Amino acid sequence: MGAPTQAIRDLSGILPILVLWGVALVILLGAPLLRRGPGSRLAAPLGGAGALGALLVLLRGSSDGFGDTLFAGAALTDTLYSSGAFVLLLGGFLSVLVAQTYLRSRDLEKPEYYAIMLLSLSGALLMMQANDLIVLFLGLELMSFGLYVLAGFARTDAKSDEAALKYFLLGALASALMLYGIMLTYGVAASTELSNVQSAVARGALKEPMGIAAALLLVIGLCFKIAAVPFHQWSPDVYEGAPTSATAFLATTAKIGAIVAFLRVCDTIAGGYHTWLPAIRAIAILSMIVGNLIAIAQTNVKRMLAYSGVAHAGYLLVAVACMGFRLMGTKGTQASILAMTGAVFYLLAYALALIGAFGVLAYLSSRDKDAQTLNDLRGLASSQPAVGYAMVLFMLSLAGIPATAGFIGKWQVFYAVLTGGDVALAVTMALTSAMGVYYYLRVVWYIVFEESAAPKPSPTGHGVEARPRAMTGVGAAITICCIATIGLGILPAAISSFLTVVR
Amino acid sequence: MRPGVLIFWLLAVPMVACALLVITSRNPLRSALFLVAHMLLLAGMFLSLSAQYVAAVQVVVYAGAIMVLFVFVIMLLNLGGAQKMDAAGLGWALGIAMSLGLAALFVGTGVWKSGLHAGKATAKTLAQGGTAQAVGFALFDPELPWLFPFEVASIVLLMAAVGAIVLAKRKL
Amino acid sequence: MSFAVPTEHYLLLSAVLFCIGVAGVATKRNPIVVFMCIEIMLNAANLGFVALGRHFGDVGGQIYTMLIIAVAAGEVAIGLAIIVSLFRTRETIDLDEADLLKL
Repeated sequence: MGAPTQAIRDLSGILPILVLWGVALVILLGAPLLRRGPGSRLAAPLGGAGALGALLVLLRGSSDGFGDTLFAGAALTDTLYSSGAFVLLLGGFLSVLVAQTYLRSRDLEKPEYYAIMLLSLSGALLMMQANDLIVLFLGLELMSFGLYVLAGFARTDAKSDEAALKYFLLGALASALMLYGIMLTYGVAASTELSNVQSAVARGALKEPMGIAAALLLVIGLCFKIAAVPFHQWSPDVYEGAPTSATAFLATTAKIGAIVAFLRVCDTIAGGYHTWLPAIRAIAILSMIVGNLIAIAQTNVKRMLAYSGVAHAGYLLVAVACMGFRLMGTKGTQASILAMTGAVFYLLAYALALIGAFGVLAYLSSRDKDAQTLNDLRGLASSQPAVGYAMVLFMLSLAGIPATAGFIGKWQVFYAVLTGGDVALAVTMALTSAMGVYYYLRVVWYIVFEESAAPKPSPTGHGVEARPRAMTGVGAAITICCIATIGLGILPAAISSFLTVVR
Repeated sequence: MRPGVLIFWLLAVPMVACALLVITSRNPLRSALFLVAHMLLLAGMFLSLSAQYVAAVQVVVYAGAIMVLFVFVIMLLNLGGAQKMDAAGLGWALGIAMSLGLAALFVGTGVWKSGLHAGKATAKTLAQGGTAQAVGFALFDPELPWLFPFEVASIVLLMAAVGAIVLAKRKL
Repeated sequence: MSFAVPTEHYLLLSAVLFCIGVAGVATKRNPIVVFMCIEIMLNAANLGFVALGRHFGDVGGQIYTMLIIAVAAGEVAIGLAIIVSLFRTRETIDLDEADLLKL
């Protein structure tokens, strides 16, 4: 094949990434104009256009080249990538909508915020497209740098600074561990390209101490990113301290990118599943139990969502564990494919509900007050019914109540692991989900049945300040999330063409 | 003993010593300077591995730019003097125990040797191995998988620069 | 081909340095020093990559090292910026006093 044609094919394979990079560069170059004055209204729409543009480019792209490697083996495109990218970019677009309103109301808005968001999204996309462990590492770092910065974006807020520091130190530690694992993989496989790693595993590389250490270090590095136990310590502090729109973004982006990367890595090393499958199963069970247990005690909604995120990481790890069943017979192979589709759908439902929930919190925040605790949500159903019932819906979706997208996602993962024959994981999933319903319903209780703490407006109109500022961004995001959560809960097939993963 | 082996031990022992001094110094500035020494010794180690270009990059970028940045920030934040005792008592003991355990695990189970894939090095690859020319040809060759990661690395650096400015500039 | 110093020696050295780095991260309280220990860990991985590159006769080992040095440079920039930002707000960067966010 001629060099120019190959180059064009390679570049069109990473077109969504190129779109994100391009728009981010436009924002950065135009930052002086976008910072103050009339141009400041343009920064958020540019950011949104970037995410949306990448999404559209992804959807328009053909699936002809799926399965081929790009750039001489550095990257690839396949259905796992395209489904994961769909969820990621949709979540990114919704996060931009939330950020637009939240940053304005807390007076934090800077055009660089959106540029960093787009670059971070491109890093996560790269993680999903990587065919080489080094490219995976680069994507991970690119994504993470942006998340560290966004967590500390409220520079004068000490909590935000501390959140960024904790996230950064533990994240850098996890990256170093993962890098050492990649080095050991290079040692056993003479290459870091996934296909070569897979052949090395087939030849028994994971029976040697070097291989075992490599696999475990890779697993640990990725488990940190999704906040699985016992690498979850950073999560509640970072979720609480970071600006709400940044929390929404980092919660979804990191999980989506890391889980898809995890699925791919475990698929590659599935041959040596004896080594890493017990570890993944243990981490999954621990995360499901510990996450749900500690979430019960939280009164700060952001911390509660952080611990519930730990539990969700556990459920998603159940899907990752299914990748280890690939070589256990036909049922196992079937389970691994179902798990990939299930995990992607689960991530979509999770992203919609989480961005929606944080969107509601962002909606309720103003310059002096960052809405965070259960008290801030009291009686929302009567004082602001639209937003209140939206939050109810998101809580139900996260709990996995039927007729919501969250239920469908959980069911798909549950079905996959049952097909694979791992009853212990399935039972733990079911029991801990039931346990989790408690704290989600507690939020619903506060919203619907408690009295609002806000003073009633007096006849002269001096009691409660009116809300004249535009709520377009976050309002649109909440609306989209609501419609999608219910819609996908009732009609999951509507979107299945974008989300199906085949081998 | 052969000169190669002598050079290895001459470099390895001070490297380990400097690393230990980094983690045991009470003064962050001293830790930083020991780390600079460690990195220079590592550059020497790279030279002994016939990776000349990487050795140069290590000195210029790692020891020369990154560590300078560390020293800048340490002096900026006025941490040049001795600090309070680090995580005393239980936390410290636990940390030391954990890392000793990890070291025992690594060294004992032979993570560092068993499983190493058979090497395919030849005298030819060794001779041309680490020159800037060899690295350059490999890096920019479209038939090899390293051009794309290289371009991505440039975006990573862009992100880092923007992020650092956004966080640390006084008036944004 | 056999080398004067076998690759295993370098990998053992790399493992020892890695564990020293882990010890530092686990015990130090100053975030800048913790970060320096993470840099020790990254350097240990770099040593491994170059040694393995020589072992396999593959330039890739050295290219990985250069990419990692570039990423580490970026990481240092962001990390130190975070520390400076925290110091400006709090006048102290003692990790044990970073207690605004509790369990």
